[in-house]
Amino acid sequence: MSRKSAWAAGIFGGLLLLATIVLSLAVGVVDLTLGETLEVLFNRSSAEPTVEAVVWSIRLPRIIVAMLVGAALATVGTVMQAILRNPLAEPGITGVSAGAAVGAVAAIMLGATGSARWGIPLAAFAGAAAVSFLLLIILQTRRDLGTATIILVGVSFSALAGAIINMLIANAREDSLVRSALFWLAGDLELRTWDHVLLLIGPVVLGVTFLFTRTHALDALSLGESTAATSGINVTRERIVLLLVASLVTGAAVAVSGVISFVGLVVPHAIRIVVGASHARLLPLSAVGGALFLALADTVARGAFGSVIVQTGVVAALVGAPIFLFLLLKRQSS
Amino acid sequence: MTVETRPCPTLARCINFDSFAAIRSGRTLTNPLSLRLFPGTVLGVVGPNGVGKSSFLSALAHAGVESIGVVRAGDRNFRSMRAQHRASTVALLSQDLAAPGELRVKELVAIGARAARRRNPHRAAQEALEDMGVAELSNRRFGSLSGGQKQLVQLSRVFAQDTPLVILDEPTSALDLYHQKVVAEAMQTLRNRGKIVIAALHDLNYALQSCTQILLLDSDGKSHIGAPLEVLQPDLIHAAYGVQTTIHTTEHGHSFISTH
Repeated sequence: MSRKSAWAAGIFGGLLLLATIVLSLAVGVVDLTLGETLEVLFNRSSAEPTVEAVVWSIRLPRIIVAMLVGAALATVGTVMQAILRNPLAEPGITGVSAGAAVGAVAAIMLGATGSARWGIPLAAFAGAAAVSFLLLIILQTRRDLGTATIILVGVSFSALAGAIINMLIANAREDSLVRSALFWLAGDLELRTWDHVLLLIGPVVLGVTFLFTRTHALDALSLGESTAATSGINVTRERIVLLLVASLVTGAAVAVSGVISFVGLVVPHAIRIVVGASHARLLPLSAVGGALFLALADTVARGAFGSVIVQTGVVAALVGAPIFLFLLLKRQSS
Repeated sequence: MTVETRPCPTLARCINFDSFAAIRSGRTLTNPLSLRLFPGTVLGVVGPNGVGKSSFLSALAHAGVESIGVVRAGDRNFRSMRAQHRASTVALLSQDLAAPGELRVKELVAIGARAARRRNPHRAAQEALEDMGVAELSNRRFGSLSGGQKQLVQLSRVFAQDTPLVILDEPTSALDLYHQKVVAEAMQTLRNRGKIVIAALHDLNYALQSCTQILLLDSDGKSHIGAPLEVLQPDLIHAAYGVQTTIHTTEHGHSFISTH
């Protein structure tokens, strides 16, 4: 991509994100017009207190969380698909999402329910970090593992984590805890606050920025290990670093949002179909696409269904799956 | 056998093997090999299936196969080179030609140019595609190409890397007669530019005609190296492949091998 078109795409993406924020701020139980929304945004002090609270304390942090999580998962999904050379790779493929889920469900069972700010995300992140650490040890001691084996290692982590989660849920003290756990597992952004933004922003911005610097390595790795090794990439080390960073970013995202697997699997494919597979283009556009997609999915989850509760993760799959199917079949026919 | 022993005139551009052998599952695949390749060499590596041609090439390129011994480009040991540095010295066409289906041809070829940190990767990619006669594929997506086109595009990527040592693992396995000739000519061009090409080949006639030296790997670990007509003799080929052959020479001085 030439420098000029990169700037143009960057500015366009930024404007699109801002427009989505404003649009999304207006939607919800308390309906606001776009004019009112802008008024509250730019003239916060003179706004009516309830409207000010709705926009600044409830909706804005939630939208920013959605964007950070979406950008993180889509970027990591792209990275996983490149280094594992597998179109079914998604952010949780190494087992980190499952690890995060164990942490979160354990915290819920111990009583950190509802709006508990730090308990559940921190426990979830600890679970994801534990799985990342195990993965690191395995990759360091068995440097010869192929991509298929790494995927199977992730499958066994996930199976193990799934068993632990089932055990925790079966032994729940109260039914309400089971409901909370299931709610978390489906991925939702209800009641996300500035605390969650704070928790997310460091790992996501740092991790995603780092991944953006590895575009040549990702291009080379997507051509296979032999080619990567003769294209200036220290394959073993690069793969360990990328998998670790990707896992930790996923861990941070999932810790705050719950398991929203669809974004990381599908957004990279959709973007790839449209702009091609060169990572210099694919990676930033996936990040923006993921942020837009999840923010819009969350807006729908908040606004469109009235009394029916629909979670963000559910909307992401409900809306995303048909769009993806369309793109997929359209490409096959052309 | 004529193993080159003369001093290398331009030391920095010779490739020296010192007791080198690839290792798979803890054992060496060939007897340790010592030889020196001069700029302008096209070395054909031949031998029966499973004898370790690909492993030999991958070990040489440090592409995931272990080895013993030392290979030097001039006085620099491949083993102690950083991956980034090695990418400016050796490029590899492996048998794994797969790439993401949505990758555009020019982007794929530019990966080779970027690997060697060439200043203008896009122009280098375009030139390499033109050299291979497939410039018209430039904007196509990799997944839409035929098997032969994929091989030509991957070859362009290797040539775009513009390294003094070029390793090709069966570069013509998917190619028609015309494009086999294109690849032979490309190897000649590299040779004329003073580069060293090492290519695993199955077609002994192709090896005979396009290589300046042949390395024949035998299944018992033995290897023979020398000029094509010296190494591709009927008795050595029979020992390696168990097939009887005859070398014919035409009135124009061209040689070819036939089996019976």
